[in-house]
Amino acid sequence: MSATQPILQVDSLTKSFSARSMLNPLNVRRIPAVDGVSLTIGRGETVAVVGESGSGKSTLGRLVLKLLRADSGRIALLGREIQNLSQAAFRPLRRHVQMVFQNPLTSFDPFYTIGASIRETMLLRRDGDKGERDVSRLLHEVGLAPRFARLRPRAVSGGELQRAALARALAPYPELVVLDEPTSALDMSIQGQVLSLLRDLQQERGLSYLLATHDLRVVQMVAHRVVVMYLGQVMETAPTHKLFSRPLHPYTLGLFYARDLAGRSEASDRKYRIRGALSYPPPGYAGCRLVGRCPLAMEKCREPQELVTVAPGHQVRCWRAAAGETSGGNANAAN
Amino acid sequence: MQADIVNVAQLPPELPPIQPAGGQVAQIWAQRRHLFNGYWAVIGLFVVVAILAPILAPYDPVRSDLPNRLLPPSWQHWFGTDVYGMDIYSRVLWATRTDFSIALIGVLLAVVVGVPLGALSGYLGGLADDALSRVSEMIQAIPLFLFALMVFAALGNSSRVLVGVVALVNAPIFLKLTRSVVLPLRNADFIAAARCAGLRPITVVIKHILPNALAPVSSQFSISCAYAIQITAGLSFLGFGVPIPYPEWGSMIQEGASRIIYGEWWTSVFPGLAVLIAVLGFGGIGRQVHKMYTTS
Amino acid sequence: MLAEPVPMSEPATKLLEIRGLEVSTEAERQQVKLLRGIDLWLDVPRLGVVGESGSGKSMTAAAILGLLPPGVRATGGSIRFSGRELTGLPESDLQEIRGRQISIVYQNAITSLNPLISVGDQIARVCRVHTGVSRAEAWRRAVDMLASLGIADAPHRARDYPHQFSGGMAQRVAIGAALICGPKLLIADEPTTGLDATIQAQVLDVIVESVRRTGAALLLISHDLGVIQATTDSVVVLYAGLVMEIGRTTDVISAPLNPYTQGLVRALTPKEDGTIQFIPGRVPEPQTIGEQCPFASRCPLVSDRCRREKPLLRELRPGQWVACHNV
Repeated sequence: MSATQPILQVDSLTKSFSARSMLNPLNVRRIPAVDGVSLTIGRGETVAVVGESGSGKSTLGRLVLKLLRADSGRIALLGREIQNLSQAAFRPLRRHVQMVFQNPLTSFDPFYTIGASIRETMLLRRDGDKGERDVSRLLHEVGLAPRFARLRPRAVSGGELQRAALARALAPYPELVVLDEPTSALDMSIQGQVLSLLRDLQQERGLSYLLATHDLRVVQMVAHRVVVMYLGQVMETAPTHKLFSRPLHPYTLGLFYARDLAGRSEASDRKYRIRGALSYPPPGYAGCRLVGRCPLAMEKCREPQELVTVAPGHQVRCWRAAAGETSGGNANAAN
Repeated sequence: MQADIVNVAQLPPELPPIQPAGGQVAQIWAQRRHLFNGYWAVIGLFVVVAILAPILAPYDPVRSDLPNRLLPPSWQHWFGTDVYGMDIYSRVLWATRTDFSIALIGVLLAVVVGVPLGALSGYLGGLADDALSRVSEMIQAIPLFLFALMVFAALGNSSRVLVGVVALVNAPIFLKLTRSVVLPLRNADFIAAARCAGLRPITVVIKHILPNALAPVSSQFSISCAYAIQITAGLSFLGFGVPIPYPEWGSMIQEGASRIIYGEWWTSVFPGLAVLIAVLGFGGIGRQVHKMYTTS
Repeated sequence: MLAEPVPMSEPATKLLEIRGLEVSTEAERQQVKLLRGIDLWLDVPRLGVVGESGSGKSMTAAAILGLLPPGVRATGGSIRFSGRELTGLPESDLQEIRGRQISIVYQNAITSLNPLISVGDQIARVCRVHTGVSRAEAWRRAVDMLASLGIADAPHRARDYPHQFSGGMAQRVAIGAALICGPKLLIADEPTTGLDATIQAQVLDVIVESVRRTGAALLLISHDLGVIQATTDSVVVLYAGLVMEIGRTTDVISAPLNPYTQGLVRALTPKEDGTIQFIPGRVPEPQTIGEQCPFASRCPLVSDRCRREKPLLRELRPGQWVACHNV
């Protein structure tokens, strides 16, 4: 394994779910949860996947962990292709990638103590001890006292429990940690603490993170690169500072605009505001999925759109953005 | 989708943790002792009686004494005597053994068969789930006594077959119950975490799914025992299961039923009371167990 | 009755006035204060209440409506609505006030709507219960309300069931049910938490627009200062059951005086290098806070007095009230 080999490489990954209508069981709709997504994560790097509900960011994380089986595409973990591996064959590789879930209270089995749950994941370690002292050491690394090992999840606050979840994820010394909205279930004053801990751990251990979130502040604090998803497709991807200083895709602009609730006006509304609600495209439609909600939509948007590179590391799936027609940089991005 | 904001924990930070590291049972015992009350005492009494019946019964329960038949309750025969002169009190005591052992063994069999199948059904889903669900629904759809008749006709009339009937009738209940508990658990984050830790599906089921299904299953156990007593008594009343001289509440009620119009009430009433109290006792325990696991 | 009745001659000045409200619960034979003396008043059209979990903001809303959970009671102070004392009112009086004079919308609209009744019916029922109009008239009003809330094709959509609506749309329905009888006060308890960012803005606009249209006052509860900043005129900052600061929203956010408010405002905007300035420590358990300032364990300005004595609200600047010993 060379030093420059990416920790994770995903190519054209797809996963659909079938939703059966209750009234007409023969009417099965395929919902493209992840539709042709590609990304790369290097060592010590954090890639944030940003999107709202239905974007596919949670599904993407679960595909990387093989909690779901991908329909097509390629996933390479530490250079090894894993998408076609059986669960049994993947088991020895599980120590390289772990997950932190959104709601800490439901991510621990209420029947066991925190220490027992951590030890369960610790069993993935090849070598090294798997005893109580090591649990204490892990807890210490995330800022928790050793006594937490003997507590049940119910007895612990949200922020502390999320730290414990982090300790559990780190137990087998993984190279990659997938985090699914790690702070959205926590109080505002605790969120910053957990994020700061994530950053420190990354620096100390050279961890890579795949972070799914809808919160742009989280992105700003810990992410090196951002991937913006909508209805399963990547809409824009760029290094964090570039995305915040010069967002291009209308959806990204809409997200920034929606976040700054106080600074809106009629004129800005017409340019940036994403209207309506999420709706899945009819089968057979191959154009931009934001049509119908996008303030800049035109007839040409109904044609299939490709990801276009507009600057080093900056890609966007919108012909108007690629042509510079979306006024990037004005929608309160620098807030 | 965001989860609701998690509330700050209720445990004061100064107190040392009071939960023992293992067994949830120990914790529950410490906190819920007040729920072990009269119902448990009643059933406990029955169990003691069942064990000590040979010592407690003053008469031989199957010894016929025709000159002394149909005597009303008196100091010599506390519950009176029946049509064959057998002491009803002794028979009621001995019948406790019969009824309780059939009920408990039958329900235990139902649990041993129903719970794992239900867990598998819920966890695996798909064809296995469909097949198991349909089979248990088929069993449940047949009226109880008709079903019992079929089984007795096929396998013969004995107490063993009666235990089998009790088990077969209750197994679908446990299967469906376990399945309904397992279905939402399947998507729980902690199950996903266990899979991330590399646990095999069977380990996940045993280690994470079954313990969390423990609560509803244990309260259902008691209720099923109550049902089982009714089934046993009911089938024996009809002449199935326990053969005639052996003491069993249901057959005793049946023998005495025809005597009631002659004013000889004691032959049916005492075994009937025994059934009533046992069923109520089991039901009460079931509710208490349910309370133990649901209040927190 | 927990407070003296209002003498009939005194005019009712503010729509809602809460003084010294204390709400407690029993935990292990001890009385635990969840609200330890709340003062707030409504003298602007839109008042925000901001606080984290455990701050008591939802408890305050529940106390106003007399909907405290079992085991929790108001143990002190007064709540006056249009001059009328609400604490100690019998349930029958409270039922007349709820829905008619004071309404509430909650966080997850889909769960606050009855899944078995069409949305039009749910709104119409609220209308009929309080105003006694005919079924036809109530239905007509319900459809009008849905249309005014931005639900397209209202006459048909009114027959649909809650599960056929998305989160944002369902919240509009809940708002419709709350406003159908023209209440004087609408309480919105985290109405957009959990909704997507793009939908959040829409729903907040609907709330602001509809209270303006119906002339109701708004009490908006949220943990998100950004939401408060965009929709309210004044704001109340709560921490662990005590009011830390009250003032005009723009003043409080641009120049906060209470150390807790300052911490909240600082955490709102990331610094240059992207880090978030968080407040160290955690919210204390309600039973461990005695008569001290609840923020003492995390406050940069903490002194001995803070650990002994609860701070009272003082008007430090015109229109801005702060509870702190050290400013």
